[in-house]
Amino acid sequence: MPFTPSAFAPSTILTAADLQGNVDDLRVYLHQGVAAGDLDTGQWIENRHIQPPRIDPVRGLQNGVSGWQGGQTSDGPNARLSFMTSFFTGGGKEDVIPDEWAPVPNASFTLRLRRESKVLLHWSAEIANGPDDLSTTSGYNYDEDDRYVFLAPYIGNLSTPQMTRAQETRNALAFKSAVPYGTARPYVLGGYGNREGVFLYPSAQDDFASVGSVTIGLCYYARSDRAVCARWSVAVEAWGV
Amino acid sequence: MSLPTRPAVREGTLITSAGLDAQFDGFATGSLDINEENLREFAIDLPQLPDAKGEVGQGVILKRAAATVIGTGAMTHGSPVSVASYAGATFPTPHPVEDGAGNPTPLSLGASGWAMSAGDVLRVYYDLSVRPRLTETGAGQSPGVLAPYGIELDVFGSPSTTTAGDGMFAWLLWLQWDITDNTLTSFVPVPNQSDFDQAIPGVLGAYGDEVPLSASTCPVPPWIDYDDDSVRGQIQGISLALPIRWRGASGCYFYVPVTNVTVYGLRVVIAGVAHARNSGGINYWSWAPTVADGGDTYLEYTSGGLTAILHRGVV
Repeated sequence: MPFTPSAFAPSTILTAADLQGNVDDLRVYLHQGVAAGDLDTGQWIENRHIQPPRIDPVRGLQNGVSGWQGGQTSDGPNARLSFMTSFFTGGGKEDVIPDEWAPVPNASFTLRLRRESKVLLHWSAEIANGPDDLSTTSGYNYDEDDRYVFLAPYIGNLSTPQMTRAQETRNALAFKSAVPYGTARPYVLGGYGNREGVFLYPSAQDDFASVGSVTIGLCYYARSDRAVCARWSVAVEAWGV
Repeated sequence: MSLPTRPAVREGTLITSAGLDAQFDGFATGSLDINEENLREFAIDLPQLPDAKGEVGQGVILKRAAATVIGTGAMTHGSPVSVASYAGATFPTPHPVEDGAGNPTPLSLGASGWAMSAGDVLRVYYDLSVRPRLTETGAGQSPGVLAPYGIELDVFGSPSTTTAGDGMFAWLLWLQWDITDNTLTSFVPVPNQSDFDQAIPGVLGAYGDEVPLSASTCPVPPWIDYDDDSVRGQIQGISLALPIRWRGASGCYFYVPVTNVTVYGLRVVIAGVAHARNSGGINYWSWAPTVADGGDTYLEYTSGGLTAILHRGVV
């Protein structure tokens, strides 16, 4: 609502209603929305104006005036290994669009958004996939060379993995297959992968996450019988708009 | 503290219309007198600040953010796009990531683009599922035309040596932007990034560019050299090349403009195969066209993402 104060003309009676009317209109204006065009266009916010964040140690997050940020990692002296297996994701069924995804443990966040926001998930993971050399049964599992494990971000729940953003790591095979194996199976080369990515929600620049809770995290679809997330990290940034 | 400060109306002073008007005029719509001292100390997270939605540059910290799916949009590997390894004499024209039907998949930043002020921070992230291919000699041997990139290795139990690839090859993915208009037909490398199209001083016929000009570059190994039967660190025969197979490749980039600039779009481009080179004490990415080897070396890709975020600068 624009603010246009009533002008007081000379030689007229000053009424309490006119005076109070201006005061009331000003109050409404300042408390119900200053027009953007009335704001000075110079620098407004300096570091000292940013509200100190509130720490949520359980989730490794902090929230402040501008949004959320924080993360979790499995790194450190006692690395937590997260296992991934095709037995949780449809048995690695052959030749179907994957429809069963499983969460990577501890790799998701639920944020309470107080304003419409943009949410950005960062993730990284060191994957050791396989070796899975079980015999191939058509219609049941993939060939050894196609036993990838896919990591993908998801929003909301596991029915909505971002499959177009999935990143895969191969099965640790295709090296020498007879004794002496020795260095012919260097897992750090064949089935190892360091993957990282980001996921912006919502992706369209004029769309924003609604006020309320939003869950965002990392899930997997495995075609091999075993893969391990040796080290991983997830972090989230959310900005109110 | 309010900038439109006005003296208080005190008992005993003469009230005039001008004096009364002055109490309010400073706040009137259109006055442009309301500045940070009026509001920010108490109100930066309160509804008095205008909603930033649809208003360019109004976010407290975040100005703009957008992302798009690049490539085919398919997670599975049935219909990848293929990029041939460069086999010419100078430098390749980089391949813009496309949808498989010849349509590039850039990140469009809208009709008006993103107006970046000096000091703002542009962050860009991309990822793409890729498969470097090496189809020569079905056994997966290294490309036969490795010169001058081979290294000699001792052969176990023999005075002879053999030549293997030195493993310093890479497909390169990097970022280009369009700062001309929103038709997205004028892409150039982002600052601190080269298209690797320069003659390398001191090396006749070599093209590429210096490594420090690869700020947004993601190198992807085209194969892994290994020996199937090494004995105590020495190989017994020729080296083999292990196909990389499908993998996620990712890169990131940030830029702080020194002058105002409007960016209308970003895209990921691909070229290969490059090789590390040093000339005159400077490290380069240099194209290695001899390893194209009759089209047997190429890169396939499916789907990924390209994300851009523009933050307000911190002064």
